[in-house]
Amino acid sequence: MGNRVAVTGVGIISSLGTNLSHNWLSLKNTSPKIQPLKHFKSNLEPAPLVGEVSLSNTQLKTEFKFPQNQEISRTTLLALKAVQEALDMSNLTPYQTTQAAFISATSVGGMDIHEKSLPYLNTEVNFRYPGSNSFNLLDYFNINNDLTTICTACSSSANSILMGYEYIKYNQFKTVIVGGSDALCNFTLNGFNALMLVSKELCMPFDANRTGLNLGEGAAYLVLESYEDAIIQQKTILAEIVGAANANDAYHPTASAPNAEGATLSIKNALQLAHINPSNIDYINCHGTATPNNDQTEAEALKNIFGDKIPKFSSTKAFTGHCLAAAGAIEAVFSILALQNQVVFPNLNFKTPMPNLQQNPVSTLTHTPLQYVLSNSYGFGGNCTSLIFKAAHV
Amino acid sequence: MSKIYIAEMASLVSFHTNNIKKTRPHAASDNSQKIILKNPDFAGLLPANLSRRTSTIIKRAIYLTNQIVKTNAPEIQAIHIATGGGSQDESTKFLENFAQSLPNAILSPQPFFLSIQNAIAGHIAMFLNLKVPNFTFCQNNLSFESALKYTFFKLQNNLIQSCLFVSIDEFNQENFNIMNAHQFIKNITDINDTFYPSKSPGHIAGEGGEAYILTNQLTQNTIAEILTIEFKYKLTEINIKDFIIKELSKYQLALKDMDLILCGLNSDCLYDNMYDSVVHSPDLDNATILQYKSLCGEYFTAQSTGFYIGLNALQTQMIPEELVIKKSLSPNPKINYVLLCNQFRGAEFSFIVLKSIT
Repeated sequence: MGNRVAVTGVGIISSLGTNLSHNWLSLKNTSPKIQPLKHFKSNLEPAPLVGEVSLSNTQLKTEFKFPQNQEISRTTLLALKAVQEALDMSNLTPYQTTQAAFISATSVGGMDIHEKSLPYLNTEVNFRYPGSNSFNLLDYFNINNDLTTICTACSSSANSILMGYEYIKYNQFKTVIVGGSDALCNFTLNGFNALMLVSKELCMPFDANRTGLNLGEGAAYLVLESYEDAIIQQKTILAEIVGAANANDAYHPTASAPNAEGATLSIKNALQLAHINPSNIDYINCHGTATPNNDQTEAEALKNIFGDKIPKFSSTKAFTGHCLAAAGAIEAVFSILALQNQVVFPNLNFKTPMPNLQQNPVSTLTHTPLQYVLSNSYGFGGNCTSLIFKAAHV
Repeated sequence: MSKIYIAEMASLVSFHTNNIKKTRPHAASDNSQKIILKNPDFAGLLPANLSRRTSTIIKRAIYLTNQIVKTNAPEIQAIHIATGGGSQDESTKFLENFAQSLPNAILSPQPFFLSIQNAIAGHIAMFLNLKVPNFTFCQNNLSFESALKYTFFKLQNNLIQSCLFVSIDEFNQENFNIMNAHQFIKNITDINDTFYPSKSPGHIAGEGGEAYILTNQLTQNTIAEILTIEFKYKLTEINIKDFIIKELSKYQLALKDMDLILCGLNSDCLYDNMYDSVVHSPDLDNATILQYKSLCGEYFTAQSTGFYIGLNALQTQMIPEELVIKKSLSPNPKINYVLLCNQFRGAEFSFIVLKSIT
């Protein structure tokens, strides 16, 4: 069976706020933050609607005492903020921090710096590479154990959580810091625009008339320890991770399979690992990007697993935008907040039911007993990941 | 805990030597600041429409996969990809496309989605029609090592029984230009220096790719056992040798037990001395020491090429003479243990121990 896996610290920064309590307040008060891009100029006009973190790079550098002239990517700056909060909450000793395994995720790394430095000669080496972001974090927090950076596009940080879950469950490490960070940059704005996946309006997950996604940015990290160790250390357990699985569609480089084979498999395998039935799931925090393809496929997967008894479900991407590699970890934190506060967050902007889905997403903040929350994340390349969280108090 | 074995392997790099089993005749050195691979013949590998729409690195990865996924190969239960940069050329292409375009220009999305690091894994999954879990590890010069360690963990704990493991990176002119501007690359006037010991700073850039099937089942085709893989971003020990000795002791092994050492020497005189404590260790008098980056150059996942050479040596019990920097004093040494060690510019240290199965 292995160790039980406890979450003992979380940290988050998103368009909803610069820490956990700000994010919680924005969710609780149904205050989404999707606005025209303001921190940098893109070549898309008018400025796209995005979920942008309010703090500028200048403010973030000041907070972390970096000289203003030091080149440091926004992806790293956002991650610093979230990791710091997670470490503080978990009360890790300096030794525990040094010995923690660190599994991070990003898709763009320091592309925000790199793309501004044409013809690429006046920049630090390796800014564009995802792994550099993790090295920066290790340097700052004095971590020197196993590390890696997972890059599976929009499921990246969900996969970093999956890996951390396995490492704790099978006793590979005492402490694992997992999560991900991605900053908005022209590379992704133009990329998703070229794929014609970006909506010019506020995104409408699971709505029949949805027109695409809003991009976002942010970071979220979780500290994972064995349940037993957390109890011995008298730590507050925020939630347990009881199942985590990944599968692949093997269908298309960017589109998900119409029969939702990968998405179905990942949920099925996560349920199996959690030793629970579909009926045990109380809420699903969906990937729900609001692209026609994603929501159609995810709806199929939900029907494949839950039949006509789909639990309460919603996508929180209309609050934050799609934060790409950070999305899985951000939504993991939202899942934990849902469990802690026994509340389902609304699927904003939903008006018209999808024709093939009999059940509608939850569209208002709903207080309800929650024991198990399922969180789905899907990435290009057919990558599908499902995580199952259990309330700590149960 | 299960033992971990290599069941199949393939590499894009061929070795110009009679002593090592030749693999694929597609390596070409242009004898300059970089070593570029000649592409294998991709004809017939992919349907024409898919072939046109994919990148060179993805074709290379699929080519390698195709070499080792045979009817008698173990059933693949996971796909793990190690790559520092993924399809870097596609990423550069997309950067240039939007940098040079007018506002709101309609761009081709192809280089964008191909540049996403797990496009390699996604295409392999499609090629093999495999729905199994797949992960892509991008940790700069520890990409190969961190991916290998996770794979090792999964197999050791029987979470999977076999894994298709692809380690691949491509040369990218933009990255080369940055590294050259920062004087990481060997000056063109120093190219003809002896590779080791080198008197000049900088390394030669390169690229490469390997595919392996790792399993926790011993079969007739098993090539070797992976005994351990360890890595550190920064060393707390005084030198590489101390790091290795400490890690080996966990397996009741000592340096003197090692028969073949593959050092990640890359001809940069500023950092090759990091290996001095290993190369000049009297404990290794009966071991043969090799370098391998004169064949493939330096790149994020270069140690995978050394890994491949080490596996070949274990399988064939032959050592490629031109890579030898120090010969064993033992008259007829049998190769039982192979040790690989690597670092990049004083950080990103790793070591791997391979063991003969005979």
